[in-house]
Amino acid sequence: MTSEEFKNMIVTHQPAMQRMAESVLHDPSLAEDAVQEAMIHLWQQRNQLDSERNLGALCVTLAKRRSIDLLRKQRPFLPIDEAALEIPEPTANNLEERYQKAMKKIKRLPTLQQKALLMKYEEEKSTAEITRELNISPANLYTTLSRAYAALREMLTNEK
Amino acid sequence: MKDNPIDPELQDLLATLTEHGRNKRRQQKLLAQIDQLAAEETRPHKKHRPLWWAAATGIAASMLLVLTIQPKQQPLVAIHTDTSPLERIQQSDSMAIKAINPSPLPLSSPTISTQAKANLAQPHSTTVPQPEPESNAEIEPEPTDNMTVTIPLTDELLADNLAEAPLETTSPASDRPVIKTVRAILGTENQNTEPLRIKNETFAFNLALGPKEEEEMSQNSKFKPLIVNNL
Repeated sequence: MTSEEFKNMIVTHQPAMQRMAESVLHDPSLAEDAVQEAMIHLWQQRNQLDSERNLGALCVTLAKRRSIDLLRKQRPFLPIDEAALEIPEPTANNLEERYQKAMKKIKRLPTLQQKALLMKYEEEKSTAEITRELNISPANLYTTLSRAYAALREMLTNEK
Repeated sequence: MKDNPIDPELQDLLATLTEHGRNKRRQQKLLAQIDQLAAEETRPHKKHRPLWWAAATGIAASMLLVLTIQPKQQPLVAIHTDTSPLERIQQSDSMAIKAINPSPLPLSSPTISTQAKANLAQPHSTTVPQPEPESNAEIEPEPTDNMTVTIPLTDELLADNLAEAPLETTSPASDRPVIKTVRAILGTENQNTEPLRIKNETFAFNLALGPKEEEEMSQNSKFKPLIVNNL
């Protein structure tokens, strides 16, 4: 497996790995560490990954194992029932599907409202950053976002 | 900024946006890490030097340092400065030297005399050359009353006989067994010849005398008996 192929594999399966790690560790930053360790392990074994049929399942299982290892490091005296941690594997495309559906609706909004929504929720930028980049006042941003919420709500209502 | 009350569907949509954005940033971080791992693999590994290599390098560096930086040499003039006898005596004592001159001792300087240098430069020089005598001429002492006479003996027979004779012949009453023995051996009792190679003329003269003359000479204060040692 080449480096580019490996990158594609990670991009595809990283959301599922992250969700699995978060479900075990209940901490997004710790889950990131677990996914990172799993990714390094996969990188070291990447030459044997070509013959692997279900790469998604392998990645998620590896993320789960690393998460349990981290959990044991944090709480060495706490008995961990691994059977209880058998969480149904989230589908890898679940987040991406939801995101694509949401983007379809967002793209129907005016450009300023699109930019304001994406900068606020996807990029998690502050109000000051958004107003500086969009060159609008905070009051104008508030009005723009309110209009975007109303438009989206209408779209969602119409879908029903 | 407070959002307007949003229905759960809109809330899920916005949460999806947030989650996707976070995942995007995480993926970028992971991709950067993959690039780093790939770069580390392609980079040629630094050759590991063994431990002895570091030790040898350190030793060589210290040796070079020692050879390069020589100790500061004190001028020889400091040693050969004229000093009074009192100061010379005081200089033999280290404490006195410290009292007179606080400067470092000249003996501590790594100077070496030219003669010693020449001796050290000679290959396999194990003997220390002795100073040459001032003159080869042997100074014969003036004959005194109680002097020690050395007679080199060439004849082995004579030497054996003389070795049995008493060493002390200073007593005038003694019958001079040495003289008699010498005369008996050499058969020159009545001859005024000088059969032995005797350096001391006075002793040779005594040997050449007869018993009578000998007695007369012993009474005379000018000819006192001699001490003959190592005969």
